[in-house]
Amino acid sequence: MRTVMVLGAALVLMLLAFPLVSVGTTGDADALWWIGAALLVVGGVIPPLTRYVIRDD
Amino acid sequence: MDDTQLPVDVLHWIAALVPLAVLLLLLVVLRWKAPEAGPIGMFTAAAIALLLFRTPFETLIVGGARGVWDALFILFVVWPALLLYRVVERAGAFAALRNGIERYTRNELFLVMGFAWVFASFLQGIAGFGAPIAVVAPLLVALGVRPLFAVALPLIGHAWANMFGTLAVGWLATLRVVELEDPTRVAFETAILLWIPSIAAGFSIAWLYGRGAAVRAALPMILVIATVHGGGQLLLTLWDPVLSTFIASSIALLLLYPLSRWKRYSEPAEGIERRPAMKDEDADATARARDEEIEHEGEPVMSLPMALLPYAVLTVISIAALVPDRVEEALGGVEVGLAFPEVSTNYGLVTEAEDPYSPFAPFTHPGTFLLLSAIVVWIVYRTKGYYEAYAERRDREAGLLASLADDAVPASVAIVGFLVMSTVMEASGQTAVLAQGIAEVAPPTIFAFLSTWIGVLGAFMTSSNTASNILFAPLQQDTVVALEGLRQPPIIGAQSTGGAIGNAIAPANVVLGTGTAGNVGEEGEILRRTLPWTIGVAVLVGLATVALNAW
Repeated sequence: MRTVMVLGAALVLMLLAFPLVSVGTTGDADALWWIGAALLVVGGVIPPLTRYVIRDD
Repeated sequence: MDDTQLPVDVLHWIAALVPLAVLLLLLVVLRWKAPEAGPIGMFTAAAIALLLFRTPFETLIVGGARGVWDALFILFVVWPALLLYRVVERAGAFAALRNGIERYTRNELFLVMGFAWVFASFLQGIAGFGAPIAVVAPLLVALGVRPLFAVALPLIGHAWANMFGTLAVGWLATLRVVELEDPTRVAFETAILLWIPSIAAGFSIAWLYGRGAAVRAALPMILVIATVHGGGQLLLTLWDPVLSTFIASSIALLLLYPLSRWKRYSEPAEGIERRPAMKDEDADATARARDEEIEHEGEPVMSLPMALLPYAVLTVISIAALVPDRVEEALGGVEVGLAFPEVSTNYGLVTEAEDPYSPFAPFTHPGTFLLLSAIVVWIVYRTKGYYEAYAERRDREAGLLASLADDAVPASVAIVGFLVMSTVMEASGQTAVLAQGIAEVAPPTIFAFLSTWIGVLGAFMTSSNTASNILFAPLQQDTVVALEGLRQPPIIGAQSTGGAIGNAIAPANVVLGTGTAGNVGEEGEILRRTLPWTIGVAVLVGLATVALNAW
């Protein structure tokens, strides 16, 4: 698997967090901002992991 | 920012420094790639916020989401700048540009100085957000500069132009957050301090290119350009700070032509034996390699004016959109953004609700200018058949969009990480504790010296002179009021100048350069070059601030 694809997925997850947290926190929709928080955390964890678990062919 | 419940003590001050120290350690010492290090900085800031700064989880996440939004402002430069780079590169325009320019001058030192200092400053005058680094780095690589230096040199060269560049967006932001008693005086004293990085840039770029011999060869050029950059900006602040960098850097760019006609700069420089910034340290070997390349690839597929088209189009679009007040007002009126609620920490630090938060004006953003330029240039080059002509001479390469993703995705991940780290630190009070800690223990003269470093810190964290001033100019102002013996103009000037030179070490700027210079992963090596420059210039600016304050 190419590192750039994995990083791309991480980037999308982190970017998605922005509207979810905004709508969730201003609209009192707790589930939305919790999902946004989870996406931000998962998206942030992936890039450092690529250092150890992914080898580009 | 000035909430008295914040724990301004040694433990919390050191804790607040940890995310920045971790980031520097990973990048500079352990040589991690920026996309790997950025998120670690982000999580470190979050952990310290939760454990030591009594930050509720919702506050932390709102802070993080604000950082993602702030990052989008920079990503909207990264992707179009990289697209423009690929559109230009795939048409063979870099090869044509290099060959065309060498007909005017074969003086490598002059070309390196011209691109890394003069052209990068000009671009900063009209389009900021790191665009000068992204645009100039591949041009320098095409001239034979090592990718490491192709990023480091424009980082140093453009720094002075950050405060009043991009049509003075940093200055206008400062006017919004601080009530200045005499704005003209503040702008003037800021410009005095900004002259220091301008001069230092000229000397440093020459030295990095070819040590002492290159500095001696470049001396007349350094004196002329630094006088126009720094002196021109200084005088123009008395008339209109908004246009001061744009006009000064444009005049300097025009002066390159008469300078290139001078035999000293039209012929290869003699006596420069060491050229550490170049791929091949032997000048003759570089010339031979270029001749062989031309023989292999044939004559360029386009003329010099065609190769310069992207930069002319970028300049025209930027000026047309930003300089006429009415056009700028109309285009700037279109804004998009989402809201965030008020959040606070248990130390009582409140981040107010904003609806919309930091709205994005797409039609006055440099990213739009870069995108439009890329589209226009692609249409022209495609119509002329340059892509087919150049592709026939090259090995098969990945598609344009695949190459764009390869360059832009790692840079984008890193930038999101850096910006989220910054906004988490701000929302949790770590940023305020860092700055207030300095302000509380330093006597007036020491604070005058350190005020520059606060500006540098802000720019390092946010990769923006403007954001640094929004973050820290109010604190600097509060300290001027609290400490007898400080004057507002030099302290705000020092903050602004620190914010400008901090751009030379701002990780997001470094990543922008490595994306287009093709050396992703060398971010730490680049910081090893620009960090000493930033520290040295900050010392000089700090001393000048002390002198100005006593004046």
